[in-house]
Amino acid sequence: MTAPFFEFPMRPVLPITEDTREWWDQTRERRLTVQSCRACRAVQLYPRCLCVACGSSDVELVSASGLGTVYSRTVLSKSPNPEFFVPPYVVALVRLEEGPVVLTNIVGTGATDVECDDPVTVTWDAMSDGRHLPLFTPVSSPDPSG
Amino acid sequence: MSKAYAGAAIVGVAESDLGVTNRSALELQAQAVSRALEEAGLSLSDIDGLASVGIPRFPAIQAAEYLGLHPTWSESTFTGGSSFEVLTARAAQAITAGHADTVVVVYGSNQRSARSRALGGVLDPLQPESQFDAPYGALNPVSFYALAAARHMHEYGTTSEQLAEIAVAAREWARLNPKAYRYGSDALTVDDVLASAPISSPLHALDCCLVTDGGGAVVLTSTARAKDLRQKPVKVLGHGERATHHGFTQMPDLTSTGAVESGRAAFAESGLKPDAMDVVQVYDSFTITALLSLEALGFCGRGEGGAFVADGKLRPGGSFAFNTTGGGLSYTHPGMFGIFLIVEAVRQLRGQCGERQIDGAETAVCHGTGGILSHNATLILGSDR
Repeated sequence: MTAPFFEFPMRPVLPITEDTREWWDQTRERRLTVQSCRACRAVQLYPRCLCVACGSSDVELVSASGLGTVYSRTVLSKSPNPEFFVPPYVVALVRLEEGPVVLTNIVGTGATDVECDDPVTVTWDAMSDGRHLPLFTPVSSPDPSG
Repeated sequence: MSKAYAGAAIVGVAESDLGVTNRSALELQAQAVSRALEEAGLSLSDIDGLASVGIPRFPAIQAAEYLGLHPTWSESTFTGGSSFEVLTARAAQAITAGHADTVVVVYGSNQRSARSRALGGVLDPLQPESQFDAPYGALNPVSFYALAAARHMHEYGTTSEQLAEIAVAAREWARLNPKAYRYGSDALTVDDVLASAPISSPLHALDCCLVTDGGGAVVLTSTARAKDLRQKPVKVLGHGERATHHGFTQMPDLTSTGAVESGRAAFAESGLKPDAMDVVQVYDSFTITALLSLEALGFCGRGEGGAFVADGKLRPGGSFAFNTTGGGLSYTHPGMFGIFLIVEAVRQLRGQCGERQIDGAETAVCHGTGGILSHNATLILGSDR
């Protein structure tokens, strides 16, 4: 059983760049977005100043469902920073319903038992500057952030 | 063989001291260069080209200054651990094109003595991973390789026992290599690997490479000059490379690496097929790294890597001459292993490997992996017949 993530000490404030500012701003309202190309409709993350499918710079953020499936997951028994990450905890790649893959933690009941291709849904971890960090939880388990 | 490299030959290879050396990275580089020149029968004053990566900012220039050289050709293309397959190909191209006469490719790191290996890896704040990947506490690089291994197991039924066999075979080879960190160590069993500390599932401590000091050097010169030198020349027959991603969320397919394309290009240039390789030297930062490369290079089918290695064919005396030094898992791994693949392949093609010599070896493939499966580079070498 993984310790609930929200009990961990506050994470360090993450950097923001101009091409990611709007994406992060959406997380203040706990909104998960993906970047969509108005020219070719390709969808991508992380946010960039151009579409990597067609090269257009006409890109916009659109709402994501918050649903995805586990592409792969690893349970860590050793931590790069025990102050913030207390083993065992789960690092995963989640493929969002919209297509892009994100790195994340799987948290909540059953997190360490999650398998590849299992469905997961987004939950949020507050950062000290008002932004939120997207985490994911197995769909069968209650949302640990309430 | 591709004409791009036809005018060049590898004429000297060497390691520096390996293991725990308490020497600086530049000192290790200088040791390796001196030893490689010595065995070739060349001197520092013969070098007009220098290629190096690893030392921050000005790797080739820094190494040149330490060696007292003023090269007219410098190369520092950085692709991670695969850099040395790239740099050796670039050097052979430059010599063939007449841009340089004699080039040394060199690497050195004292990361073991300096205790400079960071568990979380090193990121610049401006890299996208600093915003989107770093907050999740992955061990960099091991957790990323673990994610690839977990997906491979899910898709193909690959087992931890099969991955462990790669580490077991590496230890067997290291026990035949006096320069290996694990020379003189006990043999490993699959159970030993599975019982070693879990790090990032499904990978255990013994699925991971060593952390050592070490350096290596490869000296290339024109084929005309190579005829008069001390060692039997070794030719570059083909090269291929492919960059697929930097951060792991951008890897197109977790179970198929850029080695598919780098290998295809290299084999095509050489005019040889994978089954024509007498010796196979593959980057083994983790057991899964080697398994993915064996599949991608075409030694077995996609998803078949587990079954391919499980019968023990990678061990000494087996049917597949693989990582005959003991590899990064049991010989040495000073941060980047790519140059050591070439050093061993060249020695095998000269017939200088003593107890671990593959009889009659005339062709070798060196396959480097950089970053977190980010870059793949394949180099095909052949004895000069």
